[in-house]
Amino acid sequence: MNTMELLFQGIQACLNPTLLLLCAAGTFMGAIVGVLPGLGPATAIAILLPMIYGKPPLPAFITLAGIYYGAASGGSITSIALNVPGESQSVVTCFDGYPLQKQGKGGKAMGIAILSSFLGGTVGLILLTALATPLSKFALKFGPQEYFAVYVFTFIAIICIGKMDVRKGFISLFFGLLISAIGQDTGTGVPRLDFGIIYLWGKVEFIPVAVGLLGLSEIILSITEDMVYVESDNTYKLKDIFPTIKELIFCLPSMIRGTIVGFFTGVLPGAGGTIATMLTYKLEEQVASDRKNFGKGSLQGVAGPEASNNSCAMGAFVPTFSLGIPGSGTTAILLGALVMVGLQPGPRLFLRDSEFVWGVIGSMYIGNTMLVVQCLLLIPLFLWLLKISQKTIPIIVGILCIIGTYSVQNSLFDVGLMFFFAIIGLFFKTLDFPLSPFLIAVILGFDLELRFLQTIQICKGNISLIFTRPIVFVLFIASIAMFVIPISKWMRSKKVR
Amino acid sequence: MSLSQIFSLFCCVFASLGIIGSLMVPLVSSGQIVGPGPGFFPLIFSSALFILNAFSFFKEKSDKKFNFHESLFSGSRKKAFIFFFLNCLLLLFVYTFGLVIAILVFSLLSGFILKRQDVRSVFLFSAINTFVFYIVFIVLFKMAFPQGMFFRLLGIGWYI
Repeated sequence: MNTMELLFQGIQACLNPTLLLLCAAGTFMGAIVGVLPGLGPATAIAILLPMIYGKPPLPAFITLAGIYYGAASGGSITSIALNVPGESQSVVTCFDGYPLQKQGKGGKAMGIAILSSFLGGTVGLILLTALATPLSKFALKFGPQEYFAVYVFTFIAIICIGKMDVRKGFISLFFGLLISAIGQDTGTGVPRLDFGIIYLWGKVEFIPVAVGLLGLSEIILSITEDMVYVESDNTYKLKDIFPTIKELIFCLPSMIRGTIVGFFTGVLPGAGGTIATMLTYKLEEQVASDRKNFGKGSLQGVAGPEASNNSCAMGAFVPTFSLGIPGSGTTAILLGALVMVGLQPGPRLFLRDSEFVWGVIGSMYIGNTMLVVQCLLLIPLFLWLLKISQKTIPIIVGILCIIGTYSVQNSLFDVGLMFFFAIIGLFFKTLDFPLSPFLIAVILGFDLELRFLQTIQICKGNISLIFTRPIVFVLFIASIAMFVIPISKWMRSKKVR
Repeated sequence: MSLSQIFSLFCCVFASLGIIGSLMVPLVSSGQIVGPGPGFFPLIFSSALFILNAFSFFKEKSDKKFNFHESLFSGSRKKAFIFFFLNCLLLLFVYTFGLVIAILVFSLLSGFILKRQDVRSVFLFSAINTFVFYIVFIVLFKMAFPQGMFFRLLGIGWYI
């Protein structure tokens, strides 16, 4: 079957009432998560992980994916109406969105933001559909040596591509790798780092790590940051929200540029939505026809970053689905969810579980369309939710974290672990340590070790033989370059100072 | 000591445990092909974590000293600390009184202590919250929670 047939089969599979409802629920929750500051998609997905434990993969993943790409759309609403970005990637939307709101064009800005998100998401999906299969077919030729090199490349890329402190990035990475090493050894099955605690004989479960690190710690931190809610004076009527054809044509080049930049930034490990929107805004400041109004209230300044944001979310699915490698903290959680529902991520996913993969991709086309309707019609609801959330969200999330973690294995030890990781998460966030290397290391650490052991077996103990394979050689050179360049830049800047 | 130095120290202790733990198992496997044993990777990871954090510990300036009382009990941080404590209490309550009572008590306490809302809205929110959680977790997801030692001891067979 070719890609189009598989895609239509996937869409058809999603056209049943239960899956449609779950898709709508996922995108709706995603939009709310995007609206609420302090509650990101990674946090929301982590909190919901216990609820999908043991459930069928397709419905579970449709909901979680809906939250992920839905959050990319919702953030623009509060950025424009209140100058309050729900997500870090929505910060750029404030630059022009809020000035437009002050000029009385807030509705128009929201309409453009929602339609740009739709265009970015849909084109990103088409690119995902086109690229994922060839990439996974290419990846089928990978042996353990290539996978080992890909993992090393991912770890270094995630630290060095983003604007994170390299030292903190590596601390986060090695901490995660050490956590992933707890439990039975990959090769011999010998329990290690267990210190006689029976609960540590198996692996450290992913749910307590994710819920503690992203859920409970985030919500505790949000309590310390008392947000002052400013009520929006404007009411948004549907006729004010829809942009005219002329305005759409005016913004179209920015949307296209944003989509392309966003998608390819999303494919890269470590470069998430925030970098994508920033890059797009910088590009638009140089090339957009309305660049003189940037910062004062330009529709193009809203359109480009919003398209980029959603396209980036779709781009991040390319390595996640086709290689089994997460590009960001949120896709790392999604990958963890994939393992939890009993699927093996990687290129064979397209062969073994093609119904699942194409079902999820099909649901994204449907969900993306649902998002437009939800966001256009429910703006007042989202603004009201933002108002009441400050009083209720911490309580609800606190209950969900504890009850959810406990319910997976009815284990108090898991809850204790969750509290431990919540404290670690608080340290990480307070001291500005990146979380994504930690999460990716926890997920891929076991596999990294397994691939290395297999490589040793294949090379009969002579590890230097792996460099005779071209892909491995290229990936290692790229990894070294990526590691050396920021360090040399830093050293040069230190010399200048 | 600053907060980042405290965290570096904590990581060093954690890494030291990792080093000790990895030295308790073989570092090299003795099969047909000599390769890494169970302790090899943990030793590398924990050593790297130790070195990076030791470097951080000495690099960080300690002029901004960590004030335990100020960091945990001042302003809104006090609220966060209380919330963390309430979460621990929620777990204890689930175990002792069952899910329904635990959520109700947790919502009431959080509403009063954290948000300082009026009595009526706290009670209303807590009741709705408890009802929704009961429906979602017990009725829809059919999750099994402890019935609560208290009610079990009383011999009341409620499913709460």
